[in-house]
Formats: sequence, structure tokens, C-alpha cells
Amino acid sequence: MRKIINHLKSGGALDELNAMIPYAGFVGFDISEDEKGLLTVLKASPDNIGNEIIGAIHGGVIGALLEHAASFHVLAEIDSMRTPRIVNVSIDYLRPALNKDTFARGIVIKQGKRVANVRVMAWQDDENRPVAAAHAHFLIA
Amino acid sequence: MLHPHLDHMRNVVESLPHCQKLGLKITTLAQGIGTIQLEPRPELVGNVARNFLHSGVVTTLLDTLSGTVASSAYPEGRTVATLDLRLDHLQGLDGIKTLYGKAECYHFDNDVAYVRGWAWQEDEGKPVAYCVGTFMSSGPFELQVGA
Repeated sequence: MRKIINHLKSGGALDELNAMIPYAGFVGFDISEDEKGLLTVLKASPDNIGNEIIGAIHGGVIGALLEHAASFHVLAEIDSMRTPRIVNVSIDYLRPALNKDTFARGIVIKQGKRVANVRVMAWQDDENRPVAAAHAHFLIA
Repeated sequence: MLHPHLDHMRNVVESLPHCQKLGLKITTLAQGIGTIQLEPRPELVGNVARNFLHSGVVTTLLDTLSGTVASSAYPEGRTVATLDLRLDHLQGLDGIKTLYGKAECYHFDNDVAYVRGWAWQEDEGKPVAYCVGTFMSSGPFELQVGA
């Protein structure tokens, strides 16, 4: 598995790695790249609704999106042989996330020898109007 | 029933589309405290090599239960919105063992409910995750049209 991960990492094939993760398919996470870099998408799905009155995506799925995106930024940006392991995460819910495609992007703000600290934001129509934000720590060695 | 609204709340939360899809079961619910469980399935795995569930599974389990106990803390029951949720992921989540959770609202006022919770698999004394969250409270409990 480690060999596969490093092979896919070195080839920049993080989307293929994502496709191997069952939960990513279960909720609908896509990994792609745009002009600003790595982009994680949670595709709109009626199965992800957690509040039917306002038609909002379940907060846990938004949390999962931020954790998933953060881990892929760690994979992409850090030269480690190890699969990053999440230590903790703090999620701020900023606006209701309605049932449409939700995007997430992060930045590794500190890479130490053993720990990486990542900030991630999620948005829908406008990257300047985030629906949620998180910071997380990952063990990388 | 002494608290019919608590049974109603439990049913409404369990029947939300994503809770249905995951198969979350709120096993007990009283005022400001409750328990939840989830049977693992291969499609919830996040680390195939080690057969660990995705960390987002326990995030969703604890977010669901924390929000529900925040709602049930108010004697009349209220709708709440998550303000923030912080989780420590203490151990990998075994892909074949039932996942359990417990949460309690340790303080609430007219605006905010404060909740802590934890999740475990075989032994409650060896939790797999801990969380603390805050929830903004609003009007009467309502998460589903007509329910």
C-alpha cells in the first residue's frame, strides 16, 4: 500500500489515490487541480442532507470534507513516506452549506519533523464566502 | 411517555437522509444526554491498507449526537446550528467493530449549548475520539418538513 501511495504521489496522481478510498466514493469526494492548486470537491447529493428544512448538507460531512482535503494537502506538499494520521481537527461552521457542490482548499502552514498544521476552507458559490473552515494537525513521521 | 418529544427528536434525527445512509442509531436520549451507535461497513473505510474507517465517520457520528443532545437540553426542545466542533482522533477506527458514542450538554443558556462527547469501539474506557462543540440555539425543534 505504501508503495502504491508513493508511486501515485510521485506521479501527481492524487485523484487515483482518492478513487481507492471507499468513503470518498460513499459521500462523493473528488480530488482535482486548478490554477490555484489542489482542489477537493464534495459533489451535491440528496444523500448528504442533514437538515431537511433548509436543505443543508450534514455538518459531519462538511467536517469530513475538510479533514479529507487537509489530508490530501499534507500528502501533496510533504515529502514523507508515511500516510498522514490525523491528530485533531477544529471545525468552524460559518454559513449553511446547501445541497450543491462544495469545494475545499487548504494550506500547510507549518511542517515540523513529526507534525504538520493545516488550515482548510470550504465554500460553494464564492471562495470569498466560506461555509466552513478548519485547522488540523497530522502526524507525518 | 414522560418525554414524547425526545422520542420524536430521536426519530427525526435518525431519519435525516445522511443519518439513514450511514445507519446511525440514537440508542438513548434524555434531556441533554444521549448515546448513538453505528455498524461499520466496507464503504466507510478511509485507510484500505489498515481497514480503518475514515475519520469523517466518527466526526459525523459525534456531530449528530452532540447536536441532538444540544437540542434535547432545552426543556421544550430547540433547533440548533453547530457553531464549532473540535475533535481529538485518538486511535484509528477499526473497520469491523461497532462504533459507539455518548454526548452530554454540560451548559446551556438562551443562545448557546455547550456539549462534550466521546466515541469508542470495544471498551468505553479506551475512546477512539473525543469532541467538544458549541451550538447556537434557535426556535422549536424542527429538522424535517411536517415532522
